[in-house]
Amino acid sequence: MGAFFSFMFQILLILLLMSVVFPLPVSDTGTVRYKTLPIMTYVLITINSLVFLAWQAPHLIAATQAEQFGLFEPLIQSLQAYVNQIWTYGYRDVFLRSGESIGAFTTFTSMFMHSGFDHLIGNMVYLWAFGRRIEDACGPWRYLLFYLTAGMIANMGSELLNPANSDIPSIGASGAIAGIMGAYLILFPGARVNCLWILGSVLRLPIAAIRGKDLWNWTIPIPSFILLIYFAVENALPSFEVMQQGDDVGGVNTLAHLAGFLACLLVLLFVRKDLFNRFIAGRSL
Amino acid sequence: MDAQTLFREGVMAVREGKDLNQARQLLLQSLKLEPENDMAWLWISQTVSDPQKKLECVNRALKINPDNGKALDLRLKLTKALTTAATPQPAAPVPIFDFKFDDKPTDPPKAPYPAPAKPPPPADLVDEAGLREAPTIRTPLSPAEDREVKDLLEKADAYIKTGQAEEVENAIEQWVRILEIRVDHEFAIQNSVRYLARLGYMDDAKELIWRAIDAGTLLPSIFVTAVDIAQRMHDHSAAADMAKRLLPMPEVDDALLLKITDQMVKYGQAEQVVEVLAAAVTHRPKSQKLLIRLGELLDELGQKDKAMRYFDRAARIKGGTKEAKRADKALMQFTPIITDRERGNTWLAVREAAGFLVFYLLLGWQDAGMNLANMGIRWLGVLLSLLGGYFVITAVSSPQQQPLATWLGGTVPPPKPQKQLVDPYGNPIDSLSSGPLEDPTELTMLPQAIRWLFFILGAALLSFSFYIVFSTALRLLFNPVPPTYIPNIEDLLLEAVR
Repeated sequence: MGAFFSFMFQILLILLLMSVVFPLPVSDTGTVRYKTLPIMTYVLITINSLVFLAWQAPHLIAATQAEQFGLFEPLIQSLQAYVNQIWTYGYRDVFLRSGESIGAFTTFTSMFMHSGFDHLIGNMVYLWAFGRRIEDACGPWRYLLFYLTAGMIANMGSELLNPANSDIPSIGASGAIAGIMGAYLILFPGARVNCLWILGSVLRLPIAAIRGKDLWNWTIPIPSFILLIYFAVENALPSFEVMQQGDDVGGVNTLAHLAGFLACLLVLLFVRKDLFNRFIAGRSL
Repeated sequence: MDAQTLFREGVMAVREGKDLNQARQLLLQSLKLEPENDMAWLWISQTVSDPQKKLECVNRALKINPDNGKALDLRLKLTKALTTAATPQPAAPVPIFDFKFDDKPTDPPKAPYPAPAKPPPPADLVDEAGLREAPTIRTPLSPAEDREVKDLLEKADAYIKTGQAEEVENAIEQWVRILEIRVDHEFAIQNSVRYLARLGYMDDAKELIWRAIDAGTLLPSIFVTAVDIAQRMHDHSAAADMAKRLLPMPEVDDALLLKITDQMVKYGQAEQVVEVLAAAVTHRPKSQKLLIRLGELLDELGQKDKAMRYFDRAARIKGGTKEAKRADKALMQFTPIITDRERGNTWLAVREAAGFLVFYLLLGWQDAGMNLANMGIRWLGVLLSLLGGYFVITAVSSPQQQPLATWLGGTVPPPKPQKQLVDPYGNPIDSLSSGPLEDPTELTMLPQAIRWLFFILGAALLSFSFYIVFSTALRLLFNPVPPTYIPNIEDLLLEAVR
């Protein structure tokens, strides 16, 4: 029980830290019109979480424990195992060109791997905030196909558009989720998204006091186009730098985010028929 | 003289049979003082020779006293006698007029008065001056009649301008005389009806209006007034009936219909307004305003299922208009509707299949070492994925594509029973069903066997395509090759420290 509370506390702490300065989208205020149970979003969150918690995290936990007890050899072994996983099942250009590891299958394995707990939590929160409504617009199976397509485009974009001959593995669902976010911008630009934003909540305090409203609100609804255009610009600027100069250092793969985001246009192949017709006719979706 | 004296003298005059006009005048005067005297109307019926007029009088008597046995017998006889009556002829449309609902008298129209329309059946007037043959809308006004109408209008105007209450009745009399000349004279009928209604003579007002309608008038303003009168008299079915008769008239626009129906709603007759509007949208299927109003009313009545269909129809007619946006906004609270327009469209199915093509292209591209020039046989797999995707989509989500479904012996499926979930208290609740609401279909659907065949064929093609486009990756999945380079963690840590 103690471990469970510790785990939940860690999640809350990560969410709070993520939302201190910048808004963190946590839910969608819009109407889910087809009333689709977001089963595929649940499934994707579950698979991503299981892959990390059951397969990757044990090595990291073992390394942390070894570090606490000052056991150098087990620490190295655990970290090496973790690195081996990433460098074997992450997305690497060399696997595709030279036929190593499991080849192009790494495009799928890399999509479900994460580098750490905060990486996983951040991605899954975004997936929940934006994925639910896109799944409603597409239906679960087409949504899955779109998610995988966006993830593949993100992976390929990060390799093809980077002029540096880097051999750094890409992992994470963020490319696919960027595609979902882009699709959200296309389909629901006017929707408001509830964001956890500590700074915003603090700045809101005097206004709430003057207007006689509840002083503290944990979430603030922000128009989706503001959030998503900010996200696109935030990733586009460093991406252009990478495309011009190349990058073989690693870190946040903004190029994958941008490529995934641009894959959003393909969502029109995956949305429901009637929704597509409404979109073309310029009607509300 | 009081009402009873007038009545007795009138009856005596009828019995004597000398001067029936005089008898009728006496009886009508008694009715003016005592409007609820059903026997007076029965006696008046004896002063006219025309069975149609007799029937009118008997009906008036029965309206006051439905249990009047003599009146019932007489009506039966008269109805039998009238079974051979001629049917009305259709009339030509008349110019549009400005309709007003306020209580102020309208300005008299300037001569020359509108030319009489080609009108249906003759009718007559029952008024304070007695029953007499009245020229109908079929008859063109002679110059003398035209002059007479003009004079009467001037007289009525003069009476009204005195501003004295007692002169109003005189003005009404002038207007009613005009109606003897022209049964649907728009100005005269509107003003007489308005003032009669204000004085409380609702029956008389109604009578004048109905006379004009029965005579076959096609003036929309008269029907509008009829709706108003019927509403005031709480005869809501008559109001709805009159409103429906307005629908085919080309001069009646959406705004007028909405004004009328909104008035009816104010009288609490939302259900009847729904009927009227439902009839209206069959006459004007492209009217977004009427469709939206009908949707709103149905929504208010709790018939959300029907409401959303009308909103959807309105929104589909033309996007981008103010009404379309309104309909769209209203639709946001409902599950969208899928119609035959989507079901039968082959391109929409091909669009979905194109999603498979893109997916397989990306797979093949990566499998070919990120080099499209190395795709080779994988191109075939990509093309087959389009075909396979199309088969699967056709089997699963687009089995009503036209003309494919008809070519392959499809039939129109029977309507699906609507499942309505209820909460423990029996209240309907929305289900968590996926997909849009299905509109009844008129399109053929592929036979079940062919759908299964398509699905199996499509799944096989997709599997085969996957095998072709992802051949290298599949081989490596079952026989993985260890990566030639994996960094040593100690080197990485040292590099990080440096």
